[in-house]
Amino acid sequence: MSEQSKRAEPITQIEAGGDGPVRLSLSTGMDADGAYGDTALHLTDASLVRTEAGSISLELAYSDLTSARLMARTGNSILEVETNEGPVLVARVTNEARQESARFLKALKSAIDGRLHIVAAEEDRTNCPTCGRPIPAGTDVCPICVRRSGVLRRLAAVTRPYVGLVVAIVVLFLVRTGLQLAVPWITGQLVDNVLLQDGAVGRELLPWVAAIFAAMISTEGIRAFRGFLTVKMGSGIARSLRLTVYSKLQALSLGFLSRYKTGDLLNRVNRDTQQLERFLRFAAVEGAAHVVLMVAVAVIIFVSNWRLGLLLLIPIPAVFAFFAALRSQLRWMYRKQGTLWDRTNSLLQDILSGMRVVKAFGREEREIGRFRGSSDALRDVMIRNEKVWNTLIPLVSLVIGAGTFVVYFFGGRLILQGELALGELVQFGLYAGMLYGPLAWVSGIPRAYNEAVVSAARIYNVIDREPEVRESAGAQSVTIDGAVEFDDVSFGYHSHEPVLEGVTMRVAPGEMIGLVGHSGAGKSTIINLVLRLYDPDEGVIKIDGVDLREIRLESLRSQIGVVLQESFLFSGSIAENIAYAKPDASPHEIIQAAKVAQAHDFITAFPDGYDTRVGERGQRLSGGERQRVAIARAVLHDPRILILDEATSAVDSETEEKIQEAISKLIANRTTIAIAHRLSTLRKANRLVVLKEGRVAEVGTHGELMDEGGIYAGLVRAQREMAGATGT
Amino acid sequence: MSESKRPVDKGESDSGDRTTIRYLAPGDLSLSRSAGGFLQATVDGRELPRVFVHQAFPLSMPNEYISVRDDEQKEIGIIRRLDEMDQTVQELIESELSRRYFAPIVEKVNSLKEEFGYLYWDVMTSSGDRRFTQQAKPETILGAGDQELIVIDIDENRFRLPRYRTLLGRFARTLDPIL
Repeated sequence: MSEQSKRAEPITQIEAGGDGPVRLSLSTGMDADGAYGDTALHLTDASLVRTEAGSISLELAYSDLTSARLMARTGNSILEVETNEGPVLVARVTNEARQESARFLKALKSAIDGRLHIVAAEEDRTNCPTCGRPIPAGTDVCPICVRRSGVLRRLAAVTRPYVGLVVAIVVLFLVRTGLQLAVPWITGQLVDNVLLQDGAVGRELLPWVAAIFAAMISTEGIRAFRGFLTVKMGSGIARSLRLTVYSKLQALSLGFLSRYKTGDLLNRVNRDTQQLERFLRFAAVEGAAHVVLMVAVAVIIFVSNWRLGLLLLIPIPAVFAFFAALRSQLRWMYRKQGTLWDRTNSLLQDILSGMRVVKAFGREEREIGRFRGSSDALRDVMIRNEKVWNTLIPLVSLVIGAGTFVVYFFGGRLILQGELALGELVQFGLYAGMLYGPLAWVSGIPRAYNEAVVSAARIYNVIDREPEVRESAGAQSVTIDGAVEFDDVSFGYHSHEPVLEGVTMRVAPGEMIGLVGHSGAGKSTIINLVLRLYDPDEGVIKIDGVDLREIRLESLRSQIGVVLQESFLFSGSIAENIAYAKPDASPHEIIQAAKVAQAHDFITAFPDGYDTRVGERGQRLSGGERQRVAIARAVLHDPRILILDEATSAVDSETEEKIQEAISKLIANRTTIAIAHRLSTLRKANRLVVLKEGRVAEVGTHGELMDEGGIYAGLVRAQREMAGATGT
Repeated sequence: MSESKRPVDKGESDSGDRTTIRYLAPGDLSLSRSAGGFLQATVDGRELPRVFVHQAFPLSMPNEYISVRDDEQKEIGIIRRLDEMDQTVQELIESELSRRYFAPIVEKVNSLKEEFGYLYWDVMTSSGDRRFTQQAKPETILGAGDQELIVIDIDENRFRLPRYRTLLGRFARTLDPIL
């Protein structure tokens, strides 16, 4: 990792000037002109100090400051303070120092407010503690330094339930190796004892040939059976791993999950487990078989003729090097091909899902052209790769055959000199083939091993993860009445970007609260916190006076219902979707819920009624239909606290009316927290809470807030004008 | 199953006229730096204590269509071409933009290695020496013009590689699979 991002050494006293000991320091990683360098900020008891290359370049007393903020820019952030004489740029901060700078900013703000308070540093997960390199995003594992032995030991533990299978595989494999080794020996005997014997008759060939035949048949039979056992073991292990990862993912908080791309998590469940399975099957079992075979062959060769044996060994390093080079070349070729495949695929997916737009704008030709370009590039690379491949394969065969040439040349000379029997030479030639064959295999093992260790580490990284939202030991099941309380709550999805700051609000049981504010003001975050998808960084959220963290998660969430902006339906029937939270609901209950949600009429109009398959993500239903199915789901769930997030955002006014009606039935006697951009949809709210930049700016009824003439009044006015302008 | 018929109206609206583009001619705008190090402007005789500049096309046309905004992020106008403005304005805007879009220029590639799906760079840049890690995925590379690449590292730092083929030299092969 870059030296620049390391934390500034805490210095106890700033040399020239400064006042008192330094309480907190931050290495910004760069100076104001954008050069990487030794710029640091320090908080003393009375002032903010900037040093460059060790000497003070700025000093501002907290008493002269009114506020401080960190503005994220592309590739860097800017820390600025507001003074009585206007804003001052204090420092520019590199992206690696972002997390530390958020902590620094928090402390600075507290100092400006009159009491310097430093929160404990979060664990630095960005750098590998061993090699210092940055740990790639989306994983906590340094691919270079991952403890291979530890990972392997754990992997071995996973194979424990399959120990019977493993033993069977090993035994079969030893038997097979023995049989394989026997074939050249029998062949040698055949040559020397029958073919070269004067007066031998054809009948004498039979037992030898039959023995070779029997050995070969048994070898292949054992191979087939062992293959079957290996698949059984590998897929069993992969299944256990997949299930473990998947269960863990279900348990982990959204905070963890949202940091990873869906694809990355999918990969951990699918690709990484598959990679391990392949490693266990091919590298561990087959590879071990090849290694043992090679060693056994080498021993036999040396025992029978050590001089020929030595000759055989000479090309081995070269062969190894050749295969290693070949592998890296092939890997490079196929990575390029893989990238082009992905690109062509996503282009196709993009165009197919946007087909309506393509047709509406008459851009078919252009899209065909784009796809052609991508396909052509893919074709060219494939042709080139195949060319290389087809040139290399004969070379590989030649190299593998190299040992045999050596044997025949030198062995032939020994025969001519009368020092070696022909049968021995034949036997030697066959063993030489067996020695070189597995080399191709063995040279690939280090890479397969490394990849498997990284996959295993990625998997264990999920399995070992402690959920951020954890159930405390004394958590209780409660029956919720519906009072929700936020007490000085601060929260950010990333520690360097606070989304809510010091939010305090109280919602009475049965009350409907409307959350209002611009995009990014923190409305959805409040909802995420009520659902306890995340825990606040500071402050407490209570339900009926009980800290959320002391309520069992299952108990909490089973009593909260949500209707989200983008109603997510699972692939399945409408009935199954409505009964999602209550799978044992009777048809009567399902219909009742649909009726409340104003969904019954359109559902029964479908040819398949409640059995209608909604398609992946419910795509066969319109936005308004999906929304009402989601409302029916919430009705059937019968929650004590209801959360409506933009429930009417995706529908026309007629449908909106229906949804409003459905909602008004749903909210009766329930605590409801609703978000809507269309402020008219909040008219049933008892009170409105207006958020601005993560803080509560206004609270009151529609009338009160209109009289106040603040943010809310401005928003309402603007929407009315907009509605007037668009004629809606 | 019906389709929703109306576009979704979302977000805040503003009664001000947002549909007309105002281009700022050289005489319309004067700029200076405040004591605190920020840009301040005078537009049409109006003093603005703090202004922000955004590139509309930071990759394809970095020096054209530069949006000038006030403290509330409301657009004052657009500079059509930066090189048509006064020397002082040009310099101040360039330095402001380099803060907003910090992407040092790579001057020399000391080494570039690929290991397990990550690219480890060791480079000399216009801002100093640097080692960084990039995920070996096509999404971590942006094209800016024919010859230039922008590489995004795992911390979302950006690095510009002008005439990248020449610059990369023998390391071009390492980057090639994701280009």
